[in-house]
Amino acid sequence: MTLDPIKFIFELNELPENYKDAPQNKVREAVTSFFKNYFRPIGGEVAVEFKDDLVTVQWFPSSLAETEKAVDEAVNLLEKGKVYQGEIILAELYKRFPAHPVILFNYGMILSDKGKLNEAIDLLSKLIEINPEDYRGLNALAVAHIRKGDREKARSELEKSYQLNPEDPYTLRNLGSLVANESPEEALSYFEKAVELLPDDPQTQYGYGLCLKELGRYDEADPILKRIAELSPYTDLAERAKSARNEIASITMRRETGTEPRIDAVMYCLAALKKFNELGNQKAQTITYEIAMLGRDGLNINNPEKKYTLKSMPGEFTGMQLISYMYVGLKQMDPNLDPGIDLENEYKTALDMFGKE
Amino acid sequence: MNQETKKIINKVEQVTGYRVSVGSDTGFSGQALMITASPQQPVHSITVNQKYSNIGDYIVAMQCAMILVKWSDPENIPDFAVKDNKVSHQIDKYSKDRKLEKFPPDKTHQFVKSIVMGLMHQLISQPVEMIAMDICKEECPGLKDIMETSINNTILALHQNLDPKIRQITPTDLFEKNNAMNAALALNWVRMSENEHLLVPFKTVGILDKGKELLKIFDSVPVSDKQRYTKTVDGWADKLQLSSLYTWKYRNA
Repeated sequence: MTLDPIKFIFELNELPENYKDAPQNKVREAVTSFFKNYFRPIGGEVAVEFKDDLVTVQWFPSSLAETEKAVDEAVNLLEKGKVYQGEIILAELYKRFPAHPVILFNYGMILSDKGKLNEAIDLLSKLIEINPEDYRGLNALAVAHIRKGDREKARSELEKSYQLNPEDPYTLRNLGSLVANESPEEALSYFEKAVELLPDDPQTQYGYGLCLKELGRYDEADPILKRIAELSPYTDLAERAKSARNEIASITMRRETGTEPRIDAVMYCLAALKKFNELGNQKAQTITYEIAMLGRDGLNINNPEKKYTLKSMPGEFTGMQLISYMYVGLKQMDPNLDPGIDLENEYKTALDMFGKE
Repeated sequence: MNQETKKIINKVEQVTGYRVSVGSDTGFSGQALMITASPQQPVHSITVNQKYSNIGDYIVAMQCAMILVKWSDPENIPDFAVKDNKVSHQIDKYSKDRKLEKFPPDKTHQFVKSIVMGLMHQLISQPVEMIAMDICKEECPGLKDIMETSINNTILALHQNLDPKIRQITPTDLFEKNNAMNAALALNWVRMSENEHLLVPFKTVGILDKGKELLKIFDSVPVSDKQRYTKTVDGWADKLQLSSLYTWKYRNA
């Protein structure tokens, strides 16, 4: 088992009383020696730095003099999601080896992910100066420029990367993402290649699915977007993919009726108005809450065969039925709420009918 | 979603009779937001902070384990209720601390309020987290790696609370209570893992022994005790002199 690196800071005056009157150089020696002795049995390297009364103690699992091993350990930590730990090692390595390409690449990417974009661009630009043909570095530099809002510079770096390696899936993916808004057709050509090379990469699949959606190829887009939640759960990407699928469901729902209200949804909204009127506000809110929570995993509104049950209301319901109930419940709580699906015509028609009854 | 995470979700649904809804979002601190089900809100809602998506399966499993802890006795589900007037009194008292003399009075009050409320949150959340860690280790062995990532990350973040900049502006008593609970959490993890070196920062600033006292209280309540959670919170509160600041309200599932 590899232990994680640690870093902490304390004040000299937090030391026990018997250190208080000792000369400063003796105290520093004693502190350094204490930590070196403490960590000796588990190996690695200890760094103790003094600045005024503050002491920074760091421990690394490998000696930083064994640079390649330490770099590998840092990269391994990053891959495991231990970004803070990886950063501790890389930050110290960068201080000692400021022109090491792997350190520049990985530390530059961490800084970029943390939003320290100027520093990231400095490091990644330095990497490109050292190795102008590093297409992965160019790619990372382009991402930092995109995050900074400089699309022109990003495009220029990505094109250089593409010339160096037109088969690099990350370059293809990033080029696709960069041009997707202006030209989904052009973006699609990049994504089609990228998904072959990165079949399980959620960002690539998302970009590809979104392009297909923008081009009106809904039947192809939906299963691709559906897969994002499996590939990358608990992420913003998964939530955006869900929203895109909701849009597709709304568009598909409207395909048959155009701007006319859907009769089944009108009847469900009317039933909800009656039911909520009968049950009162509190019970209506309970039902609405339960449907909204159930809907986080997605409700199929275009398949009348699929049935759902609720704890707060007996019976079996179709997805469209539940969405209609939720729509009515939310609009009754606050007419300005956005229920995430457009049933405005159906709701208004149902309200008219309810008023007349 | 990991199969073991699905399994523990199913267990929660069976034990409590309510569905579990899982989503993700941003804009809040901590690893997750959880609302336990009640007759008015008949779904357990778990929202994972997208910042921690890489350990999302473990976060969901932990939240489920915490629900199981709270529902150990479905006829007496404990809800922690802060006594506002008593807490306000504490906030006023600590706002006069010498360390805060240089702060403008309005900011002092706000700052102390955030620490005291944070302390109360810590008091109810850390014991349940420690019990839930045991459950996760038992029920979800396949999540071992991300469990280690999650807890190591948490403890490294707790080390930052020992930073002298924080110590200089935090009333000593509050600083020690906060870090004693953190040290207890770290001690509990260290005996489950082999990461003893994670204790060094607590030891260096002399807080480890206070953590050991809290761990002893945690260990004194039998694992089989249905009130293990509330008894541990009460034991810690006694030790940290926080008992007068809250009360328990019990509800039926």
